[in-house]
Amino acid sequence: MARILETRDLYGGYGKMVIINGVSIYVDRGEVVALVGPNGSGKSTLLKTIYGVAKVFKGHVVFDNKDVTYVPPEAKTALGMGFVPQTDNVFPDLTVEENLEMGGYLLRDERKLREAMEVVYNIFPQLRDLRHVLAGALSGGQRKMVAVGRALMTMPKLLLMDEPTAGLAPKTALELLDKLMDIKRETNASILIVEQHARRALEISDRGYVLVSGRIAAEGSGRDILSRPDLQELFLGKHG
Amino acid sequence: MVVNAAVVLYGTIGSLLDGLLLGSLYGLMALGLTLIFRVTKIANFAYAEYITYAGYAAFAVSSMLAGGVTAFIAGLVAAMAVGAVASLFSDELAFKPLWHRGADSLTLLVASMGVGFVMRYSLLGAAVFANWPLQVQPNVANPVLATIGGLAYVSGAHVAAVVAAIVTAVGMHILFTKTRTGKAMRATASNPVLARISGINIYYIRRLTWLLAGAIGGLAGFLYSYYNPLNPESGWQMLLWIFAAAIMGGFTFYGALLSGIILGLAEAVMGFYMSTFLHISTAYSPVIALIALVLVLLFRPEGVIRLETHMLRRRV
Repeated sequence: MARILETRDLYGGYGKMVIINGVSIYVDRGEVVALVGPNGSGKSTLLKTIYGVAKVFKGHVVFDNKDVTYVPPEAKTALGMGFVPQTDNVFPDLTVEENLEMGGYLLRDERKLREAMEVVYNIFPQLRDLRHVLAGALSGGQRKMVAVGRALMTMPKLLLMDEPTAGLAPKTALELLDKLMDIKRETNASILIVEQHARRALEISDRGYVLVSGRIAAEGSGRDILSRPDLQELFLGKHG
Repeated sequence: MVVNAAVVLYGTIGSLLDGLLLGSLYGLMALGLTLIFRVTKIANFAYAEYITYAGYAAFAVSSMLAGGVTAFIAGLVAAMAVGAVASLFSDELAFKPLWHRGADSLTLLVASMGVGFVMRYSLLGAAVFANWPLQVQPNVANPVLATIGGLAYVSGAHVAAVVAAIVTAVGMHILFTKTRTGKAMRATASNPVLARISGINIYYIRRLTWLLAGAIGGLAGFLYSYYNPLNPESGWQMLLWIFAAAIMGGFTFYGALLSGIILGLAEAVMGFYMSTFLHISTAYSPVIALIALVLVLLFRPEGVIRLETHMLRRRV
């Protein structure tokens, strides 16, 4: 299988603070890869560094055989990447429909924009009824749908998702994860997902990485990681 | 002293017409200020100088021509271009670098006062150096279109100001609610990082915002000087009204226009009555704008119109 994303010895962080310390990971085409680890291990920062929202100090990010290390976020989206940040992942002052429209900002064709919007409304039927409501007025779960829907508008080849279920009730969270797997099957997008429901995330993923203090502590298939007792104690126990 | 009834009647009509002209200009000016504030969150005190610079540009360009339609169009184009460029430069040289260093709204506000100060007194220095008259006006005739009772009259400037203000306000509203670029401006204001992730070039959007706001200021500067002579401090002297209109308008486009007109009418009509009946100098008329602003802030702190509440009501 061909690589869709690869990081090579990546160092990243904010200002002068280095949080990601030489991370090399990869995602193959059509793969779902989970990134798990204790709080403060740098999972969010790794995704932000890959996308160019946080600062790259050293190393490389390769997407679809192109070196995109210093490509700004807006150009990464144009290349076929997508990102759902953990927080601030909607435009609160815009309606649901306008949020989706902004997700499809790069679709220059009005017809394509409407088509993509239909796809999102079919995935999240609730959003169709809420389309004229400001995203800032939505509940947490509805907001997550908008956040994911916005990122789906360009039909990215690779989707980075930072805890899409954070703050949701367990039942809603698991429903959303199942929905994400449906989306994956339909669009054949590759997914790199950070998830607090680590056990569930590893179960549905092809592979996983364990990030500790900005370094990869373990990698392997989801099953392998789940069966290692040392890792279970480190972080899985609490959320599993 | 007995006040002549005809003087009162035609004086009232005249002050209503002048108030409408002045108010449309305040509203038009407030539209550009509102645009900058909504996209970049900067309460821009330097904005007044774009208006003054534009008026001087219209004066300089039209003075080289023989007047007439050519001078009008050349003056208008020069004013809008100079307003846009002055606006863009002030962002590129001052506000954007500060914003990149994480400056908050208060820092940017104080910086904008500094930028305005430098611009204002550079122009004053240039005016002295170039030996320009104390007050300038573009070389464009302002035709009287109709007179009422020999006292009140409607001029080309009256019509131009009202039409320009309404067209601009409607245009801005359409831009923000119907076009992709305008929605991208709102998205950039709402969440700049997510805007970038969505593929929006926020630096392009920012430049466009400053150019457009400056062009609106330039249009207002041209129309103001079309009616009234201009000096290097004219923009600065109107800044209170511009801010009052923008704040009363709740930083919405229609709100800014409506508030500007209310302020202009209040100033002109009350000023006329105060001087006619109470013999109070019209120099006190700024007090009226301030009273109107205080009243609005007391009773409708969200502004005369608020877009967001309308949109929230549409919640299903």
